[in-house]
Amino acid sequence: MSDHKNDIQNPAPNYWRSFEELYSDQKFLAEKNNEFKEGASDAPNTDKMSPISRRKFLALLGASAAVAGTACSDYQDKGEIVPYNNKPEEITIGKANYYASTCTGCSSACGILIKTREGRPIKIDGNPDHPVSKGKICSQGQASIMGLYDPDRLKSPKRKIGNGLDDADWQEVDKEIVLALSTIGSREIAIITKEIVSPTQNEVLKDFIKEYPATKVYSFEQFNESIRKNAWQKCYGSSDFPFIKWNEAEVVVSLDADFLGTGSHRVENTRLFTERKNIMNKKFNRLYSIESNLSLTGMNSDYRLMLRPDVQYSFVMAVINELQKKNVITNSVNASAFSLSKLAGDFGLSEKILNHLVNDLSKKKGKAIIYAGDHLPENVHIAVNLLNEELGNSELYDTEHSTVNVRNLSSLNEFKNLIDKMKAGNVGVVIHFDTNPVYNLPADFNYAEALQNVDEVVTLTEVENESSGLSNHVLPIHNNFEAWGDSKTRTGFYALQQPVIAPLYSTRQKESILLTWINGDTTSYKETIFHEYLMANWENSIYPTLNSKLAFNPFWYGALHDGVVRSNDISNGIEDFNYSVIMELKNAQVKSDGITIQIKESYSLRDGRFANNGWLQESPHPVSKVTWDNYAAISTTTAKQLSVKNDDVIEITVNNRTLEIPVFVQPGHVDNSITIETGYGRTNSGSVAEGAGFNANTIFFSTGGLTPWVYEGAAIKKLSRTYNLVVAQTIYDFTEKDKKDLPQKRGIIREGTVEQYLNNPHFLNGKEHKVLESVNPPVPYDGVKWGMSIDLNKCLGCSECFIACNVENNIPVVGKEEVDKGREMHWLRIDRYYSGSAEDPKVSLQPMLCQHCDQAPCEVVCPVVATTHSPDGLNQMIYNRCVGTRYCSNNCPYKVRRFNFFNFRDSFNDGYQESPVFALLHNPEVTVRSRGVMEKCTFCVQRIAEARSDATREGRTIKGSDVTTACQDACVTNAINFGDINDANEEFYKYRNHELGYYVLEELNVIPNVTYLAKLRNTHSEEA
Amino acid sequence: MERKKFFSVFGLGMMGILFTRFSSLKLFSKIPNNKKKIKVKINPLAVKRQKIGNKNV
Amino acid sequence: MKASLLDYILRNRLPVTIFVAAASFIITFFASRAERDGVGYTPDQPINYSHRLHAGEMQIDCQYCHVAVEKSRYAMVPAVATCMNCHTIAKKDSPEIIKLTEYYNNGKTLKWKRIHKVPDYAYFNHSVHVNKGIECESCHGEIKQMEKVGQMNSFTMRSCLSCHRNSHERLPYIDDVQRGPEYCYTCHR
Repeated sequence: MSDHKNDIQNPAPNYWRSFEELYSDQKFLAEKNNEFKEGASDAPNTDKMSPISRRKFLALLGASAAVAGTACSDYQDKGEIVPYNNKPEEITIGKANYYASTCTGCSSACGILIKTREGRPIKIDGNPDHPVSKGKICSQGQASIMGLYDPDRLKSPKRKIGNGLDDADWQEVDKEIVLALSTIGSREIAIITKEIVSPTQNEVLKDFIKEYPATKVYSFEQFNESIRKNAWQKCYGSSDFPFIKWNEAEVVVSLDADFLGTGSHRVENTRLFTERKNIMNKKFNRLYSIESNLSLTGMNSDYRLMLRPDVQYSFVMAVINELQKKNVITNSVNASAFSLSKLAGDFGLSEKILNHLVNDLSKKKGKAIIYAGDHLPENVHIAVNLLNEELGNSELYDTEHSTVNVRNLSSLNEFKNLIDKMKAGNVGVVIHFDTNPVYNLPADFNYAEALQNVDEVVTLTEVENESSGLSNHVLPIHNNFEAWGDSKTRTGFYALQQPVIAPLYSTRQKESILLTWINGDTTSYKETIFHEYLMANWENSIYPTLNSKLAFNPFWYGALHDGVVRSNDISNGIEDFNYSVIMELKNAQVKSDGITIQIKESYSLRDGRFANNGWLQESPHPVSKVTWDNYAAISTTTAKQLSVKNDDVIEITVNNRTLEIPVFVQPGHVDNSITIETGYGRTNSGSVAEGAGFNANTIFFSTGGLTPWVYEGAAIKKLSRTYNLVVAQTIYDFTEKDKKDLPQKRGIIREGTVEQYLNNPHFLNGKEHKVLESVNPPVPYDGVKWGMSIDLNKCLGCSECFIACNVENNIPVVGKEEVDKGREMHWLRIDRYYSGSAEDPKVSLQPMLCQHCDQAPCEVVCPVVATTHSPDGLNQMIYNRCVGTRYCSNNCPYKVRRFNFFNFRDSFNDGYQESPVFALLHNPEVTVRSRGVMEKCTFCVQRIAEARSDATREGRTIKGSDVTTACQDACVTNAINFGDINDANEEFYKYRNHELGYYVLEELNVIPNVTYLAKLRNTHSEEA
Repeated sequence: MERKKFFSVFGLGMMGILFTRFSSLKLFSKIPNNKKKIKVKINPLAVKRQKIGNKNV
Repeated sequence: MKASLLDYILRNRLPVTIFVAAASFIITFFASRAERDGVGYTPDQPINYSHRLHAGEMQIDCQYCHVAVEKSRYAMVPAVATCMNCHTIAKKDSPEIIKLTEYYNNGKTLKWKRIHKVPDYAYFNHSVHVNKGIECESCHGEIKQMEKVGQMNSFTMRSCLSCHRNSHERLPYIDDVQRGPEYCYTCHR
């Protein structure tokens, strides 16, 4: 109550709420002092409440849901097991079947054996019965299995609508094209093919021409031997360039010819050449490589000189002159204008090596061969042929077998005429028969532009490409392993191609497509249409020439079984040398200014057709170890002159067209020259190929160069941007003192010369290594103990073993960014060491894989015992125990362990490797590793386990020779040997205990089980 | 009261354990769904190898 | 005060805790045995195929149907065509056989419930075991008496190793039996 003494007139009303208040009850007044009544803050009386609180109610709700869920699920359910309804007779689940067929990766048509599991092809190896490949194929053949399961493959025909492609029906598409073909009128139908090696395919083309007489067939290969063949015909008349008996050559002179690295006879050349790098029978050849870029052949040469391709002609003539002066050869051509010593002075060639070369050619007449590169001009080839003829080296030409050309490649002039006709609107239909002319044809043809004047452009292809992007119809064709075919590449045999899997998608065999169009009736197509045609052609035309004692059907099945059929056609032999060709040899001028550009085919992607193959893109370049990109290879001196270094982007101008490409300083490259490999920079060609490298075909011309592959006087401009080239192997800085000769000092690379070896076979064992004490007690290995030997004399660094290992062991493709971080997952790598100067180094190669050390440093440090040692000598990597500590990799002195930082299958290219079709590619016997586990070479334990199981079935124990590892199978030169170190009867035993054998990092006392056989260079004793 | 609390805690704990134990592993694993299967069919006309080299296959 | 607290802990808390821990562990262990190794799992199959009739009474050899067991890692459930070898004629009016024929004629997939399954990271090889003379019954139980097949043995690594280590006792019918391999790469590649 307030005192309103001022308010006498209006006394404030006296508000009260209860009688207690009005009468000022004592109790009331006392209670007023407390804010809350008594008992207000007492705990609630739970006895009267419901026993279930809100919290408990929710908990019980969740628990009962859990129980319900538990009760409803069948926790013991192990899924289902589904048998065949009708099991094909050939299939035994769990066992592989092998089928003989032919690879269609290039025109070599090597014989292959396709290994299938439950009807799916999973591995390609060579067919041992094929007389050329003899059980081996190249890395493209090995990796081609990925092409079958490529998620980017076209699954149905497409028709061009506006700017894009729309799905279409086969029947509709066939109708539209047949209409276009039959209403061609006076215009031409052009079919553009690759080099045709299949006689039956040629018959289909002939039938097509009969049906549509306006048709002309044009065959094109971007890299071909046309110059060589033309030169040969001028020298020797009608015959074709012969095969060379490399295994009988004691001296080989390679003039910028990468015959061991690229080119279609690679597999055969390599196999024959390395027969004379034999430490067992001590037969060694000597290889001189006079080349511009450091190539695979150059890496393995005994003597190497660097010379630009435009100087090669002068070089050969100078050698001829020198030999004429020494009366080693007759004075058939006037070469006096070419002086070898002047050339040596002008181009910095070593006089010593030139003397050795001339001496060797003189002494080894008839046992040497000079071989010029495909890209060199005709006069070089003519001069080389003359020199070989004069020296009697024609002994090394194979006269028993010769090339068979099913259909000749079209000349560049014929193509020029086609383009002109196209531009004039005189070509009505162009069919790209599994070719990509927009990408591969010379840039000066402006083919893409010419296509615009053609009404109907059809591309037959497996994966979209640059040409299909400009087509009206894109028709998907069968992959190699879904298709029938045959091939005839040389005299003496035919090879057959059979499909092992029914077509995965709605594709058709390219020959079948043509047959349907020949037929005109679009409903006449059935899957077997070409198979019937093939059998009919064989029965009518080929089988009668073979004089087989069998009726046709059993003959045919036998032919398909073997994959190869011997035939009676014999070589035409070689005619006499036509000396009038010497008129063509004139004095040539060498342009001394400007940079010479050489366009070469990629070691992994060839002419670009394998660009969508992740394994091949990630396969390091054999020399530079660059992955995922191409580059302009340039010498250290020229790089300094142009003030460029690695990763700088330069602009190359040739014939008024430019190419922007990053630089890679290549030790061993000749000055004032640049080599660029093509096959990269592809567009519209699949998700893996996208963004990889630069399209060097923009400076590939039909004229304006020394040859289509060599251009003089190019202009180079340094641009301001850089491009990150990813190298899968760190490059040592040569100038760092302590890094120099590190591989030699540490004993990683041990080499010698042939002379050293022949004088003292035990020259390698001079150094005594101090053997360290071991913590572990010695383990007796009484039974089979696995070991491997790698003969560094035979290893050329071609990376075939590497690809085979990737295919066999489900190695994921990780992509460029991850390779940059060193996360490539390759179990086997080929280390390339340079020694000597940065301008002219020697190269040593060493395949490095898990050494399966007896006292493995990785085994003792695993905290979860995920890596242990087996009683047969293998270091076991158990993926399900591994927690990803990475201590094992830390301890490994060879750094051969690879860690799965990611499950690369779901990260690379948006989970490309997790698409359902890609899963079919995997080898079912090898675990597909996930994130967080360590992996490494297992010595193909799955093959060992299978061999052991087969041996048990036959009632015996396993022998060392029962097992071949994937790398061993793939190596063309048989550099890799694998077997039981305890079995003295095996071939392998000799390699393991050879006097040239050494272990890498032996002094660490880890006792590795991979023996390396020291490389012997066949150089003269006064040099190192 | 204490007994109720004890048994309710115990019971819920058991529920949790049984749930995680008995639920099928399919719920927690990342088994890829291969429902969009590609039809793999062996080509019946292919002739398989019986011998490679001198080894029976 | 202290005595009372310690007393409380020892007499009340500790036994209760121990009891809870022990009881939950024991019950879970035994209750989950079925999930852990699947012993006793005898599911219903889409077709009531009786091994007792075919393998037991009629004495059809295991390998007549399970063809690959001697050659490969897998024993292979027989193709429906193998059943039709006899059942195109034998008892073709029985309801189960009619179901079976429907599968065969329409190309429907016959999804048997899988009973014996070893995890993916273990690569078990049937042919090695069969070729060493081990009988099917040693691992799969008395199949010839089973109307419905069930899992009779646990296929945990412990049970595989126990037979590998004591092969002499567990496989008395094989003369000169060796100990099975015990190193990791035998199964875990």
